[in-house]
Amino acid sequence: MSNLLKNNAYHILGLDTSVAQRDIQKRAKEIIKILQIDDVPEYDLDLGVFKNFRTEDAVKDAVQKLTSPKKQIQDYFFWFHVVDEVDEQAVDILRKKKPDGAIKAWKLHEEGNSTKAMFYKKNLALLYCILLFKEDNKQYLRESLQIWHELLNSSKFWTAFTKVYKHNDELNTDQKIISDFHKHAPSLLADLYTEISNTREDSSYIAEFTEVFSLRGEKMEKLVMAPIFHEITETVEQLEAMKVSEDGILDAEESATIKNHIGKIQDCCNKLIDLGLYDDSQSKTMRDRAANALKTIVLDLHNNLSETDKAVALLNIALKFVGTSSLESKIKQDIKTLEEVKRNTDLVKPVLDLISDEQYEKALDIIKTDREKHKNNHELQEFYNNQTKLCVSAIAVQKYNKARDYFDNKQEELAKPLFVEAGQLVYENIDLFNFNKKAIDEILDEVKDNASKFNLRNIDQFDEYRNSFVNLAKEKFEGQFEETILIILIDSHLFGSLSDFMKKIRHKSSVVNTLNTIGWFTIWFYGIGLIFFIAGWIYKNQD
Amino acid sequence: MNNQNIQIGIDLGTTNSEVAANNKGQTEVVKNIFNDEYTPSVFGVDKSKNKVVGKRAYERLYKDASEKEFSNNKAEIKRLMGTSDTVHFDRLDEDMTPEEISGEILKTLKEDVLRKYPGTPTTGVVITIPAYFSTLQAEATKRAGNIAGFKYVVLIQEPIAAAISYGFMNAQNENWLVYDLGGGTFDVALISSKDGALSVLGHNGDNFLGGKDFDWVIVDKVIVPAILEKYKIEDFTRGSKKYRSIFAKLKYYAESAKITLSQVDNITIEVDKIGEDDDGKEIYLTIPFNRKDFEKLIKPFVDKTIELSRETIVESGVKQSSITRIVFVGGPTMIPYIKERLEKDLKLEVDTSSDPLTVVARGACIYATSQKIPKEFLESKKATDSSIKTLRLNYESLTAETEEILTGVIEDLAEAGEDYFIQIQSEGGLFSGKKIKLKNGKFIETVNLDKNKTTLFWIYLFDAEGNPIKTEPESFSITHGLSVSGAPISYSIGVGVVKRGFSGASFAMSEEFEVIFEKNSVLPLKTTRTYKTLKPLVKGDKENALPIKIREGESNIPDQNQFICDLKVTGENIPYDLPEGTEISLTIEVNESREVKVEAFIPSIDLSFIGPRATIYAEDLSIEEMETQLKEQSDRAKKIEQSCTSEEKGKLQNLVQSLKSSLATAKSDEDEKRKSDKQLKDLKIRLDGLEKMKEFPQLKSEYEEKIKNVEEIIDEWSDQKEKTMYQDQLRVIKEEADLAVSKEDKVMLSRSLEQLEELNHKALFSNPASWVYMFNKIKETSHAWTSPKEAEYYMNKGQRALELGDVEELKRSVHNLMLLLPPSEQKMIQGNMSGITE
Repeated sequence: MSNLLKNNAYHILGLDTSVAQRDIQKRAKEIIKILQIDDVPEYDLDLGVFKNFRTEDAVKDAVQKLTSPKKQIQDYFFWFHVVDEVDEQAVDILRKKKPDGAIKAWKLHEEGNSTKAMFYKKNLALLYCILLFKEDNKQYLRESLQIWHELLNSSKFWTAFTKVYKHNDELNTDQKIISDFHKHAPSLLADLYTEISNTREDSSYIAEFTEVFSLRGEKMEKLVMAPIFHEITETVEQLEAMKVSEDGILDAEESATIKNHIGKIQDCCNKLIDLGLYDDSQSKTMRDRAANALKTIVLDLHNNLSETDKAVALLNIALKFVGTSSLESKIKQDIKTLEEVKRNTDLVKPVLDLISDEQYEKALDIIKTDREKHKNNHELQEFYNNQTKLCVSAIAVQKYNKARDYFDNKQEELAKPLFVEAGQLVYENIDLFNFNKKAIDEILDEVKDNASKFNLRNIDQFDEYRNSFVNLAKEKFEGQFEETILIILIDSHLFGSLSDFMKKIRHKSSVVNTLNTIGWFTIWFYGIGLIFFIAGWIYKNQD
Repeated sequence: MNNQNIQIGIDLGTTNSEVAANNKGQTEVVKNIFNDEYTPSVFGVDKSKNKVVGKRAYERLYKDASEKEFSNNKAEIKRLMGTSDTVHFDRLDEDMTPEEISGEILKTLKEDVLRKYPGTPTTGVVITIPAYFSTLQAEATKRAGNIAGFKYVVLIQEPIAAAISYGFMNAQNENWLVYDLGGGTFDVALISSKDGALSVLGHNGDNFLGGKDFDWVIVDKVIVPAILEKYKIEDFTRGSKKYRSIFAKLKYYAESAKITLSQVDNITIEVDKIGEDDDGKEIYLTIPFNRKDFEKLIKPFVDKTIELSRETIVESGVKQSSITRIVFVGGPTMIPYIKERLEKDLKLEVDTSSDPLTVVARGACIYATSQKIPKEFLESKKATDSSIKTLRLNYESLTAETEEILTGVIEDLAEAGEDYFIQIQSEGGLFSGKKIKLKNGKFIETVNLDKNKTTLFWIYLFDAEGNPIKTEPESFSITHGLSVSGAPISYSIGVGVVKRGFSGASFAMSEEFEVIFEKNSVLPLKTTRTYKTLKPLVKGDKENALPIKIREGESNIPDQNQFICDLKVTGENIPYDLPEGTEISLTIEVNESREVKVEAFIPSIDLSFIGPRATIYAEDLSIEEMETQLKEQSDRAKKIEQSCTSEEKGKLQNLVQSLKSSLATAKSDEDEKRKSDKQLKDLKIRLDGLEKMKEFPQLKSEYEEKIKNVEEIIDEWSDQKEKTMYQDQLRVIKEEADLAVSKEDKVMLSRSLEQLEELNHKALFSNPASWVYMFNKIKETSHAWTSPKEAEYYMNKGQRALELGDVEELKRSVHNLMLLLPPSEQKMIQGNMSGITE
């Protein structure tokens, strides 16, 4: 890992920034030749903080940096500027390995806003940073950050730095390189504090830095944030891969796994908070991913296992670490919906219990009362509509089946009123169903008209005639309440009339065809019964 | 003669080669048997099956230009270096590799040196290569040197060699540009000379641009049209194998015309003895040709060199005003138009004081004298005399300083109980050092040098009694002139590493090119990096290797850089299974000969994986694959062009056009194939760069378009409750996105776009009108259903649902119908969704 201070070209060569190109080459040769006989030379600004940094490769790299206009400026900025007696004095003290003395020397002259004072400050901040690699010192941390913040935001400092740099620069560096460096300097500083933080194994260095500068550098992204994001990603992938409802139950092991994953996400979030990077846009995006993963589990729990309480609890956890306001508002909306569902579940329970006990009429009574009570609850009104449909259909089918039983037992006088009641019940509630009432009226008029014309000559066409309506119902409403309802409505008229007709001809001998017809109806009614059973089951399970 | 340093420097050119040798401290270009300073880089086999190099082979190939000679002589072999292509020589009935052919050329040059200066040490040699040669090309050149009998081969880039030669004569504190236009390649280097120390501030180049291109453009645009105007010849193109010897001859005419036009304004190209046309008519014609027409033809090439020169200056980071002059290298720089253009466009003075044909060889020789030959290549006297003490000396053989520090160590005396002393004295007596007492066998001394001369120093070792002890070496020499740090690498060298990183709003896994050695790092280089295995290694598994690919180039995307070699780590020799994430360290080494060595080491099992390298040649190229990629990249370019300036757009179009032309002739010309590959990579890199640069503006405009769209969809909503809900969601997203725009925060803007897309879908698909639209869209055209019967069923069902206003049933029908559509059609229908909400 390249370290801005440890691997600083001037540091490697044991020189300060005022050195001439010629001396750079000379010093490099000197060091390499000494290294080649396995000795390591020492120089003034070696503070004993870094070890094993003066290697042959490092020297070659240092020369390359200091002969490149693009690279030289970075090492120049992040190294000591020794120009006058104050600097000389401080370096003298440093030579004696007494950094406190050097700090005092520079501090004594750093007051004020003069150009010189600014450069003393820069040297001081650099010294603090170097010392931070050696010792944990929050005062150095805060003071260095304060100085850097002041310098980096001072146009006066940058003007002075540019002038001084150009004055010392023998490489004829283009102004664009200097301007680019100016823009890039805070990010490099972020790298420096990331290095310190890594060395100290203390995230508060980064936290303090981000608090002052509100930015992250490349190293912070790669060395600090990426491992945290990696952990979040792995956890999210594991959460997303969970199939909680697969076995039809949220068992203890699954609950523990979810809890464990949430714990990991929270740990990662805590690390980001400690680093002061919780509200960084990358962090927010990752937090959204984690919240979304919980949402996936929530959907599964609610939709497939009806674990609404747990689903709401998970959403509340997701709400704690969600990153963006838009996802936050969505989760809040989800919580609201689930809570509403929960509340409604309590309200609809009596109705559902009655339906479950097949007490449809009582259920209809309660619906009538409750509908009024909760007229502003859209979801409940929808529920009441559906349950009314279900109850009406069920009562109509009950009456219809009973009527058919009487009809089978040749008790047409008992069958007829029940057919009429079933038909009336359906017609009175026709608006609940998905029909065009005008079309229904037209169909019924036609049916009534034709049914009144039954006689011995045309009774064998009854099946064909009736089937045309059955097919229409099937075609338009297959598998829906409307299919059954339409058939009951039509049959109530057809069979009502047939009951009358049957009474008249009973004493006559030619009933074979009619009985055949009845045999067919028997099969057909069983079919209707089955549809009702399925429809009832669907409705019961809908909410 | 000093045997410890290299004494020979060779400029192995595409068209011509030159050799220079160090003759008693003086660099001298050695002439060949024809008394020419340059030898054509042509190899051939004569009728007696003798191998011939130079002028004779050149004349057979270009002047005689018979089909027979064409099958027995080969020029421009440099263009094939690093590839696995071979050349067949009929008379030998043998295929030769490019390095074998180059080896023959080098051998001839070595013989020229030995003929003039017998006894010149030939253990080592410095050979120059174009700055933009790939590692594989450089490695092939090194092998050619070995084939020629040089045990130790050091490579240096041509413009740097030229700079050394120029700097040696003109050591002033200034920056200058080396403009090296050779027969086949163009290189430009910005050199800084500071107190005698030379450093390369930047370089650039094009391996497929040289004088040869000027010749071909004359052939293609002047000679061939003139012939075809007068004669009928079917398929008379360069790509036609039938006419290859005729085209060789035409190229010779063109080259002669080019050279003559550097001296005079008007010439006549006489085309003769190239055979008959399709009607049996003997072809003979004269074509008037003038300098102005020639300049027009070569203008695009010269423009390109100027553009590359400008880029070099900008990339180096120096002020243009700090550059004082341009130094010309290479035969084509003698064309007056090039000088005029450079002076006019770059506003720099052109220095013509150096001979452009020999300056590279001279520089190579000067550099050679600074290169010590490793002791493993040198004969040791110690084997015959054990009393000789081996001295390891560290000094610069070539330096700008008049005082030079040197260090030394005698390992045998590191722990000696007695005292030993060392004394250094120069031969001329300018320097006589004091006796220095060895400490742990080590000493440090500073010697004085004669200015601009080579000084020979004698080493004396004494014991405590003053008795002399023989050392090896017993002497060394240092040349005063300038300091050269060493040859820099032309491309960054690195390895593909899989990493997770932010791409848009996702933290995704992708392979990145991790730079191990940066471009311009000075050779030799060696480093070790530690990584983790991406997948488990199973004991005994020879097949599922972990591929470790070393490449060179400047793109972040590994595939867009040039492949050097790969190392396959398998489970074959591991003692037990290794899990994913096992530590693995990778050591990469590049020596002075540009050889790349890679070693992987797994510390947990103490096992190394060293080579063998899968290949030493460049990857085989498929023209079909390149054509497919060209199409893809052209489409990509069209998309990117929309947000480009007219200048950027123009450059992109030129790149695409140039690639198209190269690919057109690539089938019959291996060189054009390599050129196409390079151009394709360049195009991709350019597009990557533009995409990155335009990423934020593009995201922003995408956002602006999308927000408008979603707003329209929501505005059309009839259900007030849902409308308000969607409007609220949109408002929150918009607030966040606007903040991201103001902060130029790409990650957050990408995230907002994702959310906007989600909202768009949600809003769109919960609107019944969308399903009606989608059903009608499916209905109005015929489709390639995967099951027409099922499709018919769902179409009917959908239609009924539509009539009954049954939205849920309609959704089910559309969903089922979509599943019965091929993916491309699914996209088409969904893609059309966004705009329509009625």
